Amino acid sequence: MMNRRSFLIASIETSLAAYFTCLGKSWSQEISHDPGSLGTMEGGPLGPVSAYLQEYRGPSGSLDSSKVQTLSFDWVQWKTNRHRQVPLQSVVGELKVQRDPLQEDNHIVYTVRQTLGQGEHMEGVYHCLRDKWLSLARWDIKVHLESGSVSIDPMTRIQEKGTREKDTLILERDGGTERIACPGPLICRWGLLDGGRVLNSLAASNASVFLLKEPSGILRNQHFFPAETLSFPGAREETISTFLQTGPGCLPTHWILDEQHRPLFVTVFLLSLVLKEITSSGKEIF
Amino acid sequence: MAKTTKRCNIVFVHVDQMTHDAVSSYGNPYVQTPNIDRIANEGTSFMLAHSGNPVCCPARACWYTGRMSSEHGVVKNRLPLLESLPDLGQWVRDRGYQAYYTGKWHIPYRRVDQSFILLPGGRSYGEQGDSGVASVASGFLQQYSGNEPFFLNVGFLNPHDCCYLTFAPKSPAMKKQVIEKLREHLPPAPKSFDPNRPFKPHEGGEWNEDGVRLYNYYYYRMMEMVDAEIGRVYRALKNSRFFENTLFLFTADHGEMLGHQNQFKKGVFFESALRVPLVLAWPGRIPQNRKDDVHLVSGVDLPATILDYAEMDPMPDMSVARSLRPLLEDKKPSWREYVVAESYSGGPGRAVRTERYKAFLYQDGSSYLYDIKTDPFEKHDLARDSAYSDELNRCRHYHNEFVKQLKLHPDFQGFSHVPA
Repeated sequence: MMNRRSFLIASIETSLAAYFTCLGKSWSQEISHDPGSLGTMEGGPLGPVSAYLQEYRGPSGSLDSSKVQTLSFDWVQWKTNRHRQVPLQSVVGELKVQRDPLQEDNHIVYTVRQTLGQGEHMEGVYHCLRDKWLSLARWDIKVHLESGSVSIDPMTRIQEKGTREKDTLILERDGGTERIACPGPLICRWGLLDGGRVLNSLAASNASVFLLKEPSGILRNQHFFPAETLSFPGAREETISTFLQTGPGCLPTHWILDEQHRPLFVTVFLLSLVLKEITSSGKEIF
Repeated sequence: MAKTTKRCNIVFVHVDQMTHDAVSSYGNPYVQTPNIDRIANEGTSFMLAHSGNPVCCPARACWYTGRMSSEHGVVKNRLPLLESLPDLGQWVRDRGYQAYYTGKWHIPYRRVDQSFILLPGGRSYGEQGDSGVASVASGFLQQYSGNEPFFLNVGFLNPHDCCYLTFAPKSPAMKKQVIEKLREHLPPAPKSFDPNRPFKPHEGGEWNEDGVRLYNYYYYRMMEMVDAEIGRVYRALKNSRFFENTLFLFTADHGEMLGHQNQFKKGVFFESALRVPLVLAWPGRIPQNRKDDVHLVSGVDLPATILDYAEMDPMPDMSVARSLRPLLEDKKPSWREYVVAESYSGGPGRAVRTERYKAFLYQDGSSYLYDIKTDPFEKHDLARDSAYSDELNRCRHYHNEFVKQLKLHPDFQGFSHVPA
């Protein structure tokens, strides 16, 4: 395992490289003269991330969003070569999101199970409206950090619930209930996994959009910058769309979607998600 | 103010690498910190709080021993804490408190679980992440059921990790693309940044003015995220049954240069690295919405304050640490005329800060002097201006007077005097 410092460095570089890989050939020409850039590394003119993307076939699975889908992601830690130049993929955690559009209350429900590092678990259920942002209606989250101690363990389980009523959020968290004004749509990253449609709406909208970061520490206005696209000619035509999400309380997050608007990468400064599988069966897989 | 009969609980929340003015309610328009704002509104902010040594490990060792770094031995990262010194966790634990820790500790050769009951949240470097640390602290405050008073330490990592941005992106073209995307949102470069001066930090290659602005943008975003986690801990305390009898402290180990003086990170005596936020809150016991911009405060004052409120004797040889309690209770104590910080990052050195001036004094005889009142960005060194020789000598005298009070570590006795 890399130490944290090396991991962060590699992850940051890889995140940015993954993003800029998608910005076009003119840029790739520009960086080809920079001896320190990823663009000159082995793996092709756009570097190893580009090579990865070009070889990436995407997960098989239904694109029919009217059915229950499960999206599985790897949390990626990037090991590098000894020069810290060529990132390689390694898994540090796993995320499974089940998307269910068949709920009786006409919500789309995202059921999430996430494991991070050693002993940090999160389970959440998010009910989203069928508006153009898939904005949140209510959610219920449980977090557990394993302590290995019988006396401490009960203290490290927390639960959080939230409900949106018009322009107000009612939050049950940190031992109390509070009401918070939220005049714009409230979104969560699980809804954003419905890639192209939601991100396009957000980028085109001037409305204030609030982001839930669970546990709900952050509820702040966000910016979404429109997509840029890149086509990879060759053995396989591949069009990549990228969106940049940032704003107060949110580090710039790069969403990178394939031509079918499935999220290939979600990169958030220190961490990257890579979509590895989609299933569509309507059955519980957890 | 009401008196309590039961010993108070203590919640000590600290962040890593937060400069003193990265707070929206202190007038910084480039960052939104509603949670720290709320705590400041409900407590007292010390606006002239200084790190004991503006580097992670030394500053933390100052907090937990009440001693200067040339006493406890951690003058730089990775040097060991003097084994014979007790730390704050051990001290309060042996005197009837339950002492808990979650998050970043980062004191070399002193295992945190030998001083505290360790809650999940990592053993040293904040590897659990701030969100997990806040969850643990929140859960603790909701569910602690012990009969003894508690001393909960919550060590957040950020905004520290912004410094990794100096490693990446290395490509100027990469940086340029991000800058153009975010340009209208980027804060300006600090006023003491000189784009015409050679500027090459340790990592990340050349940085220009736009790069500095991007660095500041990322830094403030990280600040906002850790602000949210701080808010969770404070909210959990307010929702708990302990709130009325708990002293809450918030501070940072050291600041961040953010491009001031064409520098990043820490280890230097300039204001941006040396000064830190410090807020104390306790309903009915500590004045609300007060900003103390008069009294000079040091990181070593925190353990003195904590022990004072916990009604315990100070740890041994805390000779220069002062409790802030008399200030918070408006007892108008006589207060120090100067505060001293140490750093060995550029060779053994100490900074002496008076009400108006700050001198950087080094073992090699070099010295610098700044008039903080007229030159808050420390752009004009006055040390070689004869008009200020009296001020510089006064600082040298203060330095020597200060060091005489210390019980220097055996390995760091070589720098104890500067000639006037």
